[in-house]
Amino acid sequence: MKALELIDIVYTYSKNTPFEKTALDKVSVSFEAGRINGLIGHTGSGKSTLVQMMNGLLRPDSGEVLLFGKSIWEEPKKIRDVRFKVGLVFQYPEYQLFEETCEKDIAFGPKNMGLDAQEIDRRVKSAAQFVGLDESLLVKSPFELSGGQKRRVALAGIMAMEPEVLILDEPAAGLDPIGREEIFGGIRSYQRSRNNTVIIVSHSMEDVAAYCDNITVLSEGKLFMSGSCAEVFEHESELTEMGLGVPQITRFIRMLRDAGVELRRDIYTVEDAVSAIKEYAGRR
Amino acid sequence: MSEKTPFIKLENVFYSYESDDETVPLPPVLKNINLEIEKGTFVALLGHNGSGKSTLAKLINLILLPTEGRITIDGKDITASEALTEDEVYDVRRKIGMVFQNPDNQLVATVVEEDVAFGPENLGIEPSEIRKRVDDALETVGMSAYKKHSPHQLSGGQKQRIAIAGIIAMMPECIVFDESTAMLDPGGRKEVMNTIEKLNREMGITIILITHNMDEAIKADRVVVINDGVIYMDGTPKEVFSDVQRLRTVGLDVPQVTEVMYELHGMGMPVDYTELDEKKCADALAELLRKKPG
Repeated sequence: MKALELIDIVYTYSKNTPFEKTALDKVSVSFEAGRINGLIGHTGSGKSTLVQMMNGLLRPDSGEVLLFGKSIWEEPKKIRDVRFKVGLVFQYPEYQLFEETCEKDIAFGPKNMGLDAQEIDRRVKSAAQFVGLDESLLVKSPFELSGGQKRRVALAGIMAMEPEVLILDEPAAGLDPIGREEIFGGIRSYQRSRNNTVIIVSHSMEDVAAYCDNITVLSEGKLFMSGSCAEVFEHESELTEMGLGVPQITRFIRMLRDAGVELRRDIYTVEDAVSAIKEYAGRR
Repeated sequence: MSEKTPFIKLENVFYSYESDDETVPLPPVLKNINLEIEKGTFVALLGHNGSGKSTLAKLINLILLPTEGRITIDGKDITASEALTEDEVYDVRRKIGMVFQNPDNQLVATVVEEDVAFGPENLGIEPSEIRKRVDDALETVGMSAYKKHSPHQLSGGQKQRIAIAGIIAMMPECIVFDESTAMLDPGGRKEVMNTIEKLNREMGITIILITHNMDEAIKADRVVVINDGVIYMDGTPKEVFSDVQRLRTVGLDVPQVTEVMYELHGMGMPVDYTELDEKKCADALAELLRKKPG
């Protein structure tokens, strides 16, 4: 089943002015339910514009946005409901924290949804658990926490709304390797337990390869392709040309292949690379 | 007297952020740092979030003053007990430029060339000299063709190059890059890294690059790893990255290719995991795999 379907989306910024710029040019793309989908593209490729179409922050000039088969603009007055179903976490969401305590901040979304106190409490605790936030931190002010912890509070705030589709724009930007792993691990365990749909926008080919089931590539406002990691990273030269590339390890395996070592192409992690090379050496 | 005075010298430097509650001081984020950086070197500064590396960068640029210890820039003690005059502070900041993470927060003007001129204008430089510096700076970062453009129409990598041009136009001796590639796509990262290497190799500008990206750090002459407020490792990229275990202990990565070579080495394959060049690693490994007796 498709969670989100965008059909023939056209969007132009500053229409009818000298600054007119077509951000999305007839983009049609869909995102399968129950998966972690990656969305990649160079700066200015239209990723952020596309993401804002998905929960109705922007309305396309033409084209349709379907959420579980239903147009989100069918009843424009109900667009608020769409935003509860499609949760969007912007870049550097920690700058948006504002409450006195972490608990209150995470509870803000669920409260606005009109949930009762008990349910809010359950959701806050469960979201905090997914992002690996210790319960002792919940009573603290978010401004006393480190950058990585703040990021988790902000993420938990959206998770607590339990959206059917969770969209994250560069969730690990600026974090160190351990922080990245923790954030992505949290997103994955959240997705696995609820079996909902996740869309991750990222500039890191390594992260996309390691955590996403499917990848969509945008380039200059158009859809380049959509497919599995194997299908997408097959196109190393085109991806490099559009300013993206493939994971470092995938490139390394390609170099080995070029030098006559017959290895599988679809290798995206260090562990896979090591075991494939070991197996190759054993075969000889 | 030593024959070479380092351009930047930190002696027994401590730094603690101010606490809201004066009776409970915050623990220091930098503890007894001793560091010397020679003119013209390219230093990568690594460490995880909260390790103190950004604080260190801010001390070098006089945005912060150390709680204890001495910092000397180009022979001048910037932490001397008598307060520096405003001119002296500006002089240090002119000598040491800084490029931050988010390009959108650093551009101030509506036209590229005006943005690049902003720094030198504030230094009170002659208009004809400003013109020359702006043109030269844009040339250096490869953005001359965009001088009449509006910065908001540029890509992330291009915006960062404009921010860099704005710094170069002030003719600094050193530039600190605080995770300046973190928000860019892979193409933008490459553009900025190439520019940084050019500034160092061709113009002799001292570079301090703060990054989480190990592939960028291997381009440096020297890698300094900060952990928990102290200098944890200091050496050439080859020296630092070949100590995989020591880096992993503090949760830092090595480049993916180094990791593969290190694992293979651990399994008894005779590979050199201290080689940092991707292509050389691939060639050596391919040769070894092909000739292995069957």
